Amino acid sequence: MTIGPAARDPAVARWAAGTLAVLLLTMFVALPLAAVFTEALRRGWGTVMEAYADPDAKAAIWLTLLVAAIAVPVNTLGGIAAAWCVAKYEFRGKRLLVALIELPFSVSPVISGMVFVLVFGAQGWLGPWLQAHDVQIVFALPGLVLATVFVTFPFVARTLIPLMQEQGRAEEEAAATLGASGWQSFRLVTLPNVKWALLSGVLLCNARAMGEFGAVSVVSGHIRGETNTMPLHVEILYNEYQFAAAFAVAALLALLALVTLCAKTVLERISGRRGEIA
Amino acid sequence: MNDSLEHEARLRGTAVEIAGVARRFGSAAALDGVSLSVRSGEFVALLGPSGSGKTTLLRILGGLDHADAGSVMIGGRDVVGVPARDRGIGFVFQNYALFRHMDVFANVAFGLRVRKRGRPSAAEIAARVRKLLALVQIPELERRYPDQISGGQRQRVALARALAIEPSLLLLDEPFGALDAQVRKELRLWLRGLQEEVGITTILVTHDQDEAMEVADRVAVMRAGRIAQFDTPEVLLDRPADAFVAGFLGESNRLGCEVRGGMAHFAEGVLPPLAVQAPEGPGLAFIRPHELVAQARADGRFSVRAVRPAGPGTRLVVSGAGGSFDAVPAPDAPLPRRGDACALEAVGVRIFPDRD
Repeated sequence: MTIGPAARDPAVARWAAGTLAVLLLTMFVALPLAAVFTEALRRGWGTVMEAYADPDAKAAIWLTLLVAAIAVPVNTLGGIAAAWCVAKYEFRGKRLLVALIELPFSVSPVISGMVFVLVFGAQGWLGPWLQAHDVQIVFALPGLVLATVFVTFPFVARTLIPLMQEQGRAEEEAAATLGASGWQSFRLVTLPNVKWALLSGVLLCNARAMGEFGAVSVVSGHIRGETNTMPLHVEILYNEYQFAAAFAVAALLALLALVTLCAKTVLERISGRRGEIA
Repeated sequence: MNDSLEHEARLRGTAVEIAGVARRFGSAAALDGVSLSVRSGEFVALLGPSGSGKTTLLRILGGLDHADAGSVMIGGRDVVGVPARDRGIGFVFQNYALFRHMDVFANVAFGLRVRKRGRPSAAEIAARVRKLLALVQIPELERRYPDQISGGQRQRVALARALAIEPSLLLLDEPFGALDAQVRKELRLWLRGLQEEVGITTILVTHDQDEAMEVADRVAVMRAGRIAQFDTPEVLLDRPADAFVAGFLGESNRLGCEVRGGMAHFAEGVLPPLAVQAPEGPGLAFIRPHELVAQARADGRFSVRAVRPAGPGTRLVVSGAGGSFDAVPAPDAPLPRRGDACALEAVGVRIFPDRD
C-alpha cells in the first residue's frame, strides 16, 4: 500500500519514533541477550560443556523438555477446543469463558503456583486424600505440569480466537450442506484454515512453557536432579556464585527461545503469502 | 433410497411444501407462520426488504436453522430434525463461502470426497468435477484458489460445488449481491438457462426486484416474517394483493384518497374523482407512471419539472399541489417542455384500504 503525501507523518516524527524503538530494543532486548551469550562463552566452550555435563543440569534440561512435551499438546487441544467454542457458537457465559481463558495472563504466576500448593499440597484441600492414595502432585512432575499448563493456556486460544471469529461459520455450514460430518468439517475445513496461526500459537506456548519460572518455582520444591527445571536450575547456580555454569544454562534456554521465535516468524511469512492472516 | 428412484427424483427436481413455519430470535419473530408450496422443477424467488425473513426461511429449508413451529416437506419427506448434511440440498451462500485453502477443483470435489457410503473413485470424481466446471464455463480455473479469481467466477465455483452432490433442490442466498451490475445481469440469465438445463427445483433469495422478476417463475414477496403474495411476476405487478406489494414492486405514485359511492376522491383534488372498485373509506392509491397522463393545458394545476427520454417513450416529473409525480405525456400531442403547465389524468389505479 502506498501512502499519499497528505497522510504521511512528518519526517522528524518518523525519525524520532524509529530511533526510540531501536534504542529501547537495543537496551532492553539485544544487549541483555548478547550479555548472556558473552558471559556463557567467556571461559570458553570447555566450561560450557562442563556445565551441561553436570548430572543436575542434565536432569533439569530433561525435565524442562518433558514438562513442555506434556503441557504443550494439552494446551494445543484445550486451546483449539476453547477457541472453537468462543468463535463459532453463541452461548450463555461466553464472556465469562473468555475472561477465564485470559486469567492466567493477568494473574501473577507465583499466585497460580500457590493455588496449586493450596489445593494439592500436604496441608491443602485434597492433601489428605492424595496422601492416603499415595499420589504426589506438588513437589513432583504432575505439579510442574499443572502449573505450566495453567500459565501457558491462553497462548493457543488467544491466537486462534480472532482468526476463527473473522472467518465465521459460513465455510463450516457449506461443508455441512455438502454432506460433511462435524469431524470431517473440523478436519478438512476449520483446522486447515487456521493451521499457520495454530502453529505460531503452539510455538509461543512452547517458549513460555520452557521458560516459566514463577509458578513452577512454587510447586517445584527445588529438589536437585528431580524437580528443578532449567530456569530454576539457573537461579540456584547463580545464587551459589557458579556464574559460568548459570550463564551456560541460561544461554541454552535463550537459544531455545530464539529458535522458537525464528520458527514463528518463518511461519508467519508463509501464512501471509497464503492469505490466511490477511 | 432406491437408486433409480433417486435418479428420477433428481431429474424432475423435488417439490417443497412449507406450512405454518415460525421462527423467533429472542423476542423478535423472524418468520410468523409462513406457508409456501413450490412445484418440482420450478424457479421461485423470495423477495423482500432486509429483515423480512427470507434468508431465515432459506436457511430452515437447507437445515442450517430450525423452525420453532410448522412443517417442512421436501420431495414428500418431512425434513424437520434432519441435519443439513443428510438433506442433499445444494446451497449457494451469499459470499459463496468457498473453502479458502482449497483450489477450485478441491472445492467442487468436496461433497463427493466426504461421502461415507458410495464414494466415487478418484477418477470418477475428477471426471465429474471437470464436467461441472465445463457446465459453469470455467474449466481453466481448476488449479486456482478462491482469492485468485473474480467475484463472478467464485459464484460459478459455488454453483458447481453445490451441484456436485446432485441435489434435487438448489437454494441460493443473494447469489448476485456482491457482483457489479453488468456481471449480475449476465449471470442471472445464465443461471436461469442452467436451471432449465438441469431441471432442478430452485429457490433464490433476493432483495432486488428486477432480479426476482426476471429470473423466477413465481415470486414470493415477503414482509415482516410473512408472505404478502406469492404469484407470477405479471400478476404481482397487475394485481398486487395489498398496499405493501403495490408499493414495493415497480414504480408507483402513491396518493391518499377517500372512496365514496364507488368513486375515489383524491386529497386536495389532485386528480379528478375516479370510478374504482374498492372498499369505502380512506384508501391508498397506487398509480404507475405509465398510467398517469399529463396533458399540456394553459390552465393546468401542475407544471412539468423534468422531461426525460425513457426507451420508446418519454417520462415526466410534474409537480403541483399534493407533491411531485412521475407521469407520461399524453399521446398524439406535442411533447411538453420543462415549465409547461399541465393537467393530470389517471387511466389506471389500484386502491387499498388505508389502515394506518
